[in-house]
Amino acid sequence: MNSLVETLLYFVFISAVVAVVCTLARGGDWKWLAREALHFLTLMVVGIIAFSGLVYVLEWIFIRKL
Amino acid sequence: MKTPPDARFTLNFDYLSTVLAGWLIPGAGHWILGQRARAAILFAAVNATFWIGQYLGDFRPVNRAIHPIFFWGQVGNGLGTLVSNYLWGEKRTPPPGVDRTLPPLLNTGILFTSIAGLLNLLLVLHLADPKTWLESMRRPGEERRKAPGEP
Repeated sequence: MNSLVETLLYFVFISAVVAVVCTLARGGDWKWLAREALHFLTLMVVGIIAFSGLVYVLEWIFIRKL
Repeated sequence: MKTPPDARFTLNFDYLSTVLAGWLIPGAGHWILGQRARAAILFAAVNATFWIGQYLGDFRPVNRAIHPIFFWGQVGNGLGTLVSNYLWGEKRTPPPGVDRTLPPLLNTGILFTSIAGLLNLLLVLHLADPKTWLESMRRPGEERRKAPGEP
């Protein structure tokens, strides 16, 4: 498997585990917990992808010509 | 079942043993409290993360002698970490010098095992919260356990 795909799969897996466990450590009914875990997972994935994109753009601007 | 209005929090053997069980085996404390479905999911999630991390790092991520700082994160897993450190950790510590046999995914393994340990510490804190005990008493249809201090 492509190492980038593999790394992304590990990242999604660990994000999903963190989202589920952190949500279960709070109270609430199952429907609310599922919605909250999904929300948390989306925030983590989108946030980290956005941060990675920012780093990529900065590298492209400042390091590409070196 | 309604929460008794006079249920007060005190340290007792039940409370301490449940928190200890939750540390040693992820999910065990919630199981003892009667939150069986939640406990099963937590057990599967935290243990899967820990053991996948161990597998990825060729059972070398947990090693108190080599990764002492990460070990304090990993030790949140309780028994899994202690057994791993005993069986595959310090006994396999290589002699000083460059180790050319390191597994390529050792970093990922250390990350997974450390995150699993920290997540279980979060669950231990949840167990140690008296509100969790009171909540478990309110759940209808689930096995009920007395809150600390309840007569």
